[in-house]
This record gives sequence, C-alpha cells and structure tokens, in this order.
Amino acid sequence: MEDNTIKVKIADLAVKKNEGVIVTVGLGSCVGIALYDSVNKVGGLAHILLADSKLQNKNESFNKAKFADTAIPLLIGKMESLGAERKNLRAKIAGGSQLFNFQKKGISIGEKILLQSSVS
Amino acid sequence: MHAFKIDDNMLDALKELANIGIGNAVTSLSQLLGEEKINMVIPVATLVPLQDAPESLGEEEIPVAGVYIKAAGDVDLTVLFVLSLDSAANLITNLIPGTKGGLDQMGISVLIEVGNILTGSYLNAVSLMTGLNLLPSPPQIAVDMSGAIISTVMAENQLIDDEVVLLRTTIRTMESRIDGNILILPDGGALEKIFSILGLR
Repeated sequence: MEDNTIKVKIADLAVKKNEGVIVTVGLGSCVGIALYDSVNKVGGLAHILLADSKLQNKNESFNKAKFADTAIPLLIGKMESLGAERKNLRAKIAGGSQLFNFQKKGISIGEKILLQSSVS
Repeated sequence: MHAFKIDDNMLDALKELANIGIGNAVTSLSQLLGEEKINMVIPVATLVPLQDAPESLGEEEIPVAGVYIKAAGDVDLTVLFVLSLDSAANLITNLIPGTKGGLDQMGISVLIEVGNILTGSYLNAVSLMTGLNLLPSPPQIAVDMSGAIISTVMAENQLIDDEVVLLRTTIRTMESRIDGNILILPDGGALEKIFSILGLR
C-alpha cells in the first residue's frame, strides 16, 4: 500500500484532508460509513461493529468508534476539526450483510447499525 | 475490558481445555476420512485486541469457507471451522468421491455436517471436563473474506470487550490436503464460569 493510505480496522475510524486514501476491508455484517466534504476536501471513514453504545457500561471509558450512535458524531467532529462543514457532507455506506442465514426474529445486526446511524 | 483480569494461568487452562476438546474433534474428522492421519498444531490461547481479531487467521482478504456454530446452555461459546476454498473442495471430494468439490448444495451440506461433527466432539469434551451443559445451535456457513467472517461473528455475539480471547488451532490432513483452522470465541460470561469451575477464580 502507498504511504498515503490509512487502513481503518474494525471498530475504528480515520479522517484525512486533501490527498489520500482511507480504506477498510472485511466488513461482513459491520457497516462502513464514508463521509466526504468535496468543497473542503475532507474525508472520513468508520468501520462500525455494533449498533448501540447502551450495550457498554457507561462508567468505563470505551471505544466510541465501535458503536454507530457514538462513532458518527465522533467522525463528524474529527472532520469538522479538519475544516469540513456539515452542509457539504455526503455519505456512502457499505456492508451490513447477513453472512449467516440465522432463523431469528427481528432485524439483522447490519440493519440495527443502520438504524442507529441516522444523525440529525 | 473484561470484568476481571485474564492472566497467563487462565490462558494456559483454556489452552489445555482446547487441546483436549479439539483433539477429540480432530479424531472425529480422522474417522470421517477413513482413519487418515491428521496433524494438529497445539492450540494457542491468546488475548487479542478486538481490532486485530479479523487478522487472526492470516490475510483477512482471502476468501474462505467458514462454518459457524454457536453453543448456548450454561455458557455461550462460538466455534468457527474455517477452510481455504481449496481445502473445502478437497474435503468435499474426499467424502463424496466423484464430485468436483464445488460449493453447490451438496458441497455446502458436506461442510456444514463436518463442522457439526467437529464442533459436537469438541463441545462434548468440554462439557465432560467442566460439567457445563452446552447446546450447539444448527451450523451456519458463509463463504467470504476471512476478516469479514470473523467480524460478523463478533458482531453477532455483540462483543463489547476491547480484547477478545481467541483459541485457535490449525489442522492438516496428510493425504487429502485439507488445511483447516478451528477458532473458538468464549464470551466474557463463559470465561468467568469456566475459570471458577477450574478453581482459577
């Protein structure tokens, strides 16, 4: 990989201004959320594992990039500190697949993450 | 973080448990393959950062077949039997001579069944040693990048710990050229119970 490439691992996120590549692999049921401000040339990518940070004991410090509801505000905040503006942000989302065919009720983990991902 | 610190002693105990359990599972596989000799690497028990877990089977972008079985009951455990696509084909042709080893309905069914038998023997051994009641769910299979399969398993299990305990071993059959990995992910609650049964907590 080139020097200008940042690899985002699972439950991780990265932001970059101007030239560069941010990449993640092996999403499976995880959801990759890419945000881009084409005016200010700021991009960000999050590889989100779980939907809701309520699962986590709030008294402890935890990895905010792991959960959809905490990762996206964090991602946007980091992009804003690089000069991105909310009104310019465009999102592309990938992943959330159902690799295993579970016969279970309710929605898949990928759908759960997407539901939690909506930010105003 | 886990609710308690996992020390080397505990990892050693898990390794021994996996050694006996997977040993049983590999014996079953050998019987399936007509008493073929199988080399089994001694299992490794490691505490890895969650972010590195998808790389635990090597290159995470390599397509593999993964059979996933979740055991519930007294504790929750996940067992993943992962084969390279070549090995999967070799396993299928070995068990159903005359087929090309493709991942059609029959091929998939063979892999699932082998995963089921392996996991069954493993759980049986663990259950005998610990007295825990372990009920396997019907196996599921996916063909995808190895990293995607491991991340999906972690998501399905809602792993919230930043470090995961992974028990891993590699097996290799001598003639039929099947290389496989067995990966076991106990959840935090399972570890606590297992350690207290073993007198480590």
